Amino acid sequence: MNTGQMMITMAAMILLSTVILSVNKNALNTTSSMTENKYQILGVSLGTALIEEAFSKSFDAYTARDPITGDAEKADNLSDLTNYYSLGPSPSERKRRNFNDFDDYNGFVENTSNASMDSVYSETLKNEISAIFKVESDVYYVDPSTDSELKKVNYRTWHKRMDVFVTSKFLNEGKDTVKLSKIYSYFYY
Amino acid sequence: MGGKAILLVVISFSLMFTVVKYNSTNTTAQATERLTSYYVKTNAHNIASSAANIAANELFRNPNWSGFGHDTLYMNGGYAVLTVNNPVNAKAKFDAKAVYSFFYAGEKITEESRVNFILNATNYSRFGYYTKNWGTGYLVTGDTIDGPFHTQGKLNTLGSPVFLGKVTTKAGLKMVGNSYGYGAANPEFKGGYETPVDVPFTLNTSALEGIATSGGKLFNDPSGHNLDVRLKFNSDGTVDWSTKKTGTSSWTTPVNADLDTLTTNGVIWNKKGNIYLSGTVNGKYTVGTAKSGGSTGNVYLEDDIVYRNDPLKFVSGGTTVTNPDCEDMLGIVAEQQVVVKDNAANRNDINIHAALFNYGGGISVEGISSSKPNMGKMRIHGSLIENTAQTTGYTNGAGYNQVIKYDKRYRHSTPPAFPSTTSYEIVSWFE
Repeated sequence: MNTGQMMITMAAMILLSTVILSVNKNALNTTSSMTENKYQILGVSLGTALIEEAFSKSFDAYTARDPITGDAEKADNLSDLTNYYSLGPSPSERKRRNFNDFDDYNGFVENTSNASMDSVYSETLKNEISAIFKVESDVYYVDPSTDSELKKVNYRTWHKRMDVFVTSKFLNEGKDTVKLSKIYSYFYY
Repeated sequence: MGGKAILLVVISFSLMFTVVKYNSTNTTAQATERLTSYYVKTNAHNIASSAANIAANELFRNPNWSGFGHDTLYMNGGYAVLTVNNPVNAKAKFDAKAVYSFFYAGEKITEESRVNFILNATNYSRFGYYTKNWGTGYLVTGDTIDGPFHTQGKLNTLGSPVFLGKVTTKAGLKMVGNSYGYGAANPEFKGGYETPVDVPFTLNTSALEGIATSGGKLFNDPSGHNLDVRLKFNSDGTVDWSTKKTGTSSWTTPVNADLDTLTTNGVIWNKKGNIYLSGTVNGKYTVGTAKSGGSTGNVYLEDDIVYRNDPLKFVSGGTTVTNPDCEDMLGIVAEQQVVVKDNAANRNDINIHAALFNYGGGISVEGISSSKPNMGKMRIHGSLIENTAQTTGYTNGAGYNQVIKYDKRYRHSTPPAFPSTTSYEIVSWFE
């Protein structure tokens, strides 16, 4: 191998090394991005699951169905509903499995790493999903007749809004928050 | 030569790696797009659903609600545009179009989501058995209620009665067991149970009078007296009708009329008085009467009132299916109640094929008492709607043994202009 061939070989090796490094960097980025996407989707799914769970409950503690008799009261007046400053679980509803109405989810905070055994998040632990999520929710009254922005009001209405926040250090290094909102209104036909 | 070969090999590898890198980058970009799309769609759908929930509540509280002063609601970075159509008519249609936008990597991603639903007044004939007042009685083990059931009161059950259709009550359910040998409290709701469900009991006689006036047949005494109308339906599609002033005894000579000519919209209404009814129905009609003072507003059944073919076919186990050969349908509307006449024709069974609407009472038997003889079976194949249940038989055998079977055609079809509620029910919900 003469000097010229040696030079060409060296150049080829440098080129190959550069390409391999670039591809390797790209592969790492792809893996990281895909993993983060997966966690983002999981975060949205956790938020949606909490909203769907809350929607399966009664609108208010007053209208909650008696688990034994099946009876449920009908709210005729706004004064029948829980006052705006009392939204949240009652002392007997400290565990999530005891939540029986929508506003019990006001002030709800749960972390998938230390989810109680009655929590759906215990299933995610069993499934060995390594990311840790913090799920929080707020429930408050809104008044669409007077406020098109659907902001919190300090009086009772027939509409309760739930905001769910899902955070994790795995979501863009903790900079991103998944936020979902939905309004539950009282009606039966 | 060797150096060039190496260079060619390296360039080939480099090209291959470049393709791999390109594909990898594309995969990442697509995954991110899908994530963003999933998030944006979820938010758009939540906003549209929220708007629909809000509208459903407003229409529930006020059937004439036609929207807020502002038709756009903003939420969580998106917005929903509300549209309510024709709420003052029988049907209210609501549509929410939600738009949610999200910026990702400098690019605006927008998704639309729609939720719409249709509300309609509930026709009472869709109930197998509707009773405004339930009272203190019990349905007990061995009782079977066919078709959808509703009461505005509290339903009392003892033991394990069976409900074949969906059961709804406004005031809940009282289940009693282990009394009088009726076993544990375990009512069987084969179609499900729901409470509280409010289906107010209303009757708009003016509307029926209007429909009978324009395209139907309205009976009305020109001198303003209460009028009794006798209708005997014939299987050839005609009816023999005659009248008399209420409280008198002389009927006019019966007139045979073709029903297609007598009433083009199928409604025959007596402005005030009573109706005396019997025969075989050929076609689809609603017959009824308003009341004016005591002893009026009743529909008296003088004999069987049946279709040309029974609407039900009985199959094994006492269950029924719809008879495809039956095309006839009858609604009987009494502002007071439907009464079975105590006459020779009715003393050995009575067959009734109709939806019976008893606004002031319930189906009853003229002069019924525990000392009356047994009159066989009262077979109602259709639907029974009443204010308050009346006695039609006694445990000692006096009167009738009542058998009510639901005509399942009423789920989707009703007799012409048969009464409906003033409130709505959801007939479709699309997301």
